[in-house]
Amino acid sequence: MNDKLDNSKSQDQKDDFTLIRAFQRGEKASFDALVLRYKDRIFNLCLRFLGDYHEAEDTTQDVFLKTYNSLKRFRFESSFFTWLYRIAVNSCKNKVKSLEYRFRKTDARIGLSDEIFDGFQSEHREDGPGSPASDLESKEIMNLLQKAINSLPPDQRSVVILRDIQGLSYEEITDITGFKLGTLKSRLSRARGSLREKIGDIL
Amino acid sequence: MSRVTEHLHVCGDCSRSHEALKSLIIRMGNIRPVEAPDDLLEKINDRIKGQSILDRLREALSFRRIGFPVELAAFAASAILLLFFFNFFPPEEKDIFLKPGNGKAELVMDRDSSPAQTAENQSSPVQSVDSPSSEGQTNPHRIEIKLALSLTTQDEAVPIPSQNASYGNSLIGSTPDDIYLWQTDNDKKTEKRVISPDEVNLKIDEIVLSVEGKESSRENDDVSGYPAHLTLEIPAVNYRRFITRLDGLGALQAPPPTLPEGSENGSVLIQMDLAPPQ
Repeated sequence: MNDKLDNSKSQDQKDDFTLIRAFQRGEKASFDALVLRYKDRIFNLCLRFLGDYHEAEDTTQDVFLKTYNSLKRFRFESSFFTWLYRIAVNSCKNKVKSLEYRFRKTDARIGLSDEIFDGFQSEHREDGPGSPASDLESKEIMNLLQKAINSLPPDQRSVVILRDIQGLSYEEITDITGFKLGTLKSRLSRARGSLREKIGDIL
Repeated sequence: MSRVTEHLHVCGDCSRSHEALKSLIIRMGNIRPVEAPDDLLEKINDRIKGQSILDRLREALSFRRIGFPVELAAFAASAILLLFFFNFFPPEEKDIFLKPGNGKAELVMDRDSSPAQTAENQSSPVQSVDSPSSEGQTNPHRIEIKLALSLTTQDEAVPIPSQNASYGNSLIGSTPDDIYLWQTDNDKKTEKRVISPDEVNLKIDEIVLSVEGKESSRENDDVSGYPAHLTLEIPAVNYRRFITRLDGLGALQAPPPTLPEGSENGSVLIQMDLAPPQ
């Protein structure tokens, strides 16, 4: 099972490198192929990190624009996937820190848009998934969960999203964040602890 | 049965806490990905095109493209620098005051003001040209600094620890939190500590605090995560200390600019570009 997963990741990396080499030779279309491969994953990372659909869309565009500008200098020393994720995580952290973003978040008091709830699966319900009551409750839980994620410090937020929502391995997360394994685990533990404290009653 | 599992069977608090944690992780794992907007690729390509137009304009206006002779460019640059220099530091010092009258400010230039007159000026409700907004404040002197960050530590390279031996297979680590970043040498199977972005940011915080500075912006490089631009205002008297403290952070790319005489009472606006070493 693990071997299959490793083989698939290794194949993905080979495909990425082929596309990057083509881009570096001047084939601009291969950049489009890279965007199409990763746009959903990067968009979801931004969406969970920022908690706002439109901010996530803007930031995803920024991430790919930065990637486009830096891709000529990509040296094939790390996987494209972790390199792209590193740009995305840093862009999200910078966005959260930016004054304009903070102003919009606190002053306009933007609620969580409906699109953000689309990803929540209503499961473990006696009245069955998809029922109006179940959907409403799921949305409410998702609202609380997203608010709790938003309240985490950026470093904790990034590790909990990468590990628990996006399902990346510890090794991939250490490559992306640059944290040592011990640091990563302690930040993850703190993040989960904070989330449990904030939404413990409904779990 | 492990000791943890045994304990969970008998301890209600820990058991509830463990169940809540498991439930939280399951809930987060159940969040389905949302599809990115359909027109995302189109919008990215539009922005790339917009950027390319700007690049082309910049290239078209560059001296290289239109064959501007280097000597002529150097002469023009020197002339602009000289003009700039004499504009800011006129050869003869003048006392310039703004004198308010009938709601309009009036410029008063006094070349030979005697000490008595100066004292009178100080007691009268006039403001220095440098302080159009409030009494006692002057416009800060602007300084630009370029610094190459040094990320090396004195620590020696150590063998890469075995992850299983260090942390076991537990879901949650118990090692103390740290902010270190390690550079791995896979050939030698060693790792060496390097200064992480967090450490650089902490050092900057410390320096800013030590010189009583007020930071107005700090931007991190998106690719490396290290701080790339910093703007802060510090009291001019602390400028020398600030420059000295930068030694611990990296190497200045050029000798630091000196402050003009008489500016000790004002403040300095420092715009700093930081570059991580290649």
